[in-house]
Amino acid sequence: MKNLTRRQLFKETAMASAAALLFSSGCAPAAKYAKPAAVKAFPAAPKSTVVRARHAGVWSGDALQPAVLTQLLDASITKLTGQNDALQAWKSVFRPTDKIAIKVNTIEGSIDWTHVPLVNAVVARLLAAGFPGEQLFVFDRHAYELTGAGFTINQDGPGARLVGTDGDYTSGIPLLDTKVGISNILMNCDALINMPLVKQHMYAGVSFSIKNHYGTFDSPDDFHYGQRIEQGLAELNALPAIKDKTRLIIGDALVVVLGDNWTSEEKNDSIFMSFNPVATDTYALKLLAETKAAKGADESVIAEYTAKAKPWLAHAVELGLGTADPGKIDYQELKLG
Amino acid sequence: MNSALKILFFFSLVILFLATGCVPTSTPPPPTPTTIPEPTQAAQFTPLDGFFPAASAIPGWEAQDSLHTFTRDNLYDFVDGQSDSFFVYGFEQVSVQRYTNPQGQILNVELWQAANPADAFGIFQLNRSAQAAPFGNQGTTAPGRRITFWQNRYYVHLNAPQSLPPAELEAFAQAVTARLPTGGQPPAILQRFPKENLSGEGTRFFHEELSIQDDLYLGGENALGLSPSTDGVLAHYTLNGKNVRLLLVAYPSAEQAATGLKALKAAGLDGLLVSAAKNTLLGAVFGEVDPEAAQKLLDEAMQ
Repeated sequence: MKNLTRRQLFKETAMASAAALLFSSGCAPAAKYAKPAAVKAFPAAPKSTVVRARHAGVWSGDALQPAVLTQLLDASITKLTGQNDALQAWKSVFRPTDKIAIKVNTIEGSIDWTHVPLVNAVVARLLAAGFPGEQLFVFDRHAYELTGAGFTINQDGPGARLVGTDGDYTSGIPLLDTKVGISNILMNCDALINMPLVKQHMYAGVSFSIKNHYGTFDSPDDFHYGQRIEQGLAELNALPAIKDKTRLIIGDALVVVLGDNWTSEEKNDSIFMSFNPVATDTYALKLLAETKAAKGADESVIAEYTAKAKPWLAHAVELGLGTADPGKIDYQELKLG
Repeated sequence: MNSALKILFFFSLVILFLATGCVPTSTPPPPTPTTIPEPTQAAQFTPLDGFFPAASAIPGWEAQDSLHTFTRDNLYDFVDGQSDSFFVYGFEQVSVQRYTNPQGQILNVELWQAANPADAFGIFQLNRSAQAAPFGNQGTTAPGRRITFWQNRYYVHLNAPQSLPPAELEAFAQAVTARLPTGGQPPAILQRFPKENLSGEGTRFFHEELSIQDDLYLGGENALGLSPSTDGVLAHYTLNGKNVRLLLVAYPSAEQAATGLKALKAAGLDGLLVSAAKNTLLGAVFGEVDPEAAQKLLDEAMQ
């Protein structure tokens, strides 16, 4: 080791300590995950944009139409970024070297999952925008859940990777009164595209982007009841490994799953896109309420599910994850057909 | 002095690593191939593997991965924390087997074991599809995507993430029903429900408020004193063009039914039209229909 003056040594010690703290807590220096200018994220942007793109022809019987999905995605990304060219818009949200994790929802006990054709369409647009397949990582908790939802595992073949976390977590990350593990798929990526599915949930009210982290972290069983869910959902999303990397929400509202244990679904014609998970979930909750109302649910029942979501949404606002205030949300509904 | 400072430098790094409690991530192992978690096997219950179609039993289909089973200890992992919705139906275990064909299509077969046939029926009622299907004691289907049925104390759920030829799902359903023990009666309280004007929503059997909270909100505080020993049914009717709900609860004692009625009246619930208790039975009608029609429906059910 070279000889150092006391001042030099203390300066280098401080810098090394800071770096060690960041890396050992699963975080890279903030600059590495600073979001591109096109990502007009809360709270810097005066309003948080939530795009809901709709197309009546997205379903043909039980089959989703890939061309319509692409149309929905491109219309959403251009509206969200304010750009005219769709591929440029996709490029503007990520850096060329970004490794992009794409979190889907394939929990085994459900009757519907993030739809494979929608995920394929997202991957296709990222590839077309110039992001190599080896920089794209579609993932969820288990490979066997992904296959059960219709995905095909791709560990290292051509195209985007499609892999399960399968127990590979970085452990020891503090969350409330415990420590959790975060998926190393996410830890090793620079950006996260969160692709949830709109589902009713008996404790959270609605499950959408903020609750789409089974498999992002390893101990959801600790955070599902009472105050644990009210606090834990927001606190989890506030972890740097999730908050700093969440670049884009592409919400699947092609069906709305109803029932406390997902007993039925209603086809829908929409996807959501936003940079803001809180604003997105606010509108997902609204969509759930509208869907239940259309099925004849009582106002009191709908109010109860809305009430279940309010505490964790409020805590997410407190933690600076976004806004749920309609006055601060620029909601754009696009009807494409 | 320099040596002391060098020691300080390294020591401070070590302390920081330890204090954060994290495992360094610089060289994480690559994602592993498909693995099946090993849920806790319920020692007190007989494994369900014998009820599933054997490998290649259905032409063109093979079992993929091994059977995996969830018990009360880990059901939350299967249903995103919503285990309570099954626990209230005497849940004992669920086993899941995945099948795949050469086209890569997937079929997931779930076999749920409840404490008794009435509870299996209860789980089935929550999971009905629109079209009737001739499997088990009662079955439904969304052709090509889903078949559900109940038989004895088992609820069976076949679910495909993509559309399949309906005949292929039916072959699996037939194979499972042939392996399960036969028998099982729906809960007796269902016999009380007038069939006339019963709407497509049908009936929902339950023990506890949790099972009907997404249909009829009773306040969330168990004002009616419901428990595993109460049998209840919620049914939808169309009266004079209006949707109404008939709630019936059979308590273990008349005293409990009377207490339940008192609590129901005091709860100030939206839409409560008429209510009554008779012996061990509590009944109530909710909705917007005129009280006379509601009373007639209630009287008929309480006979």
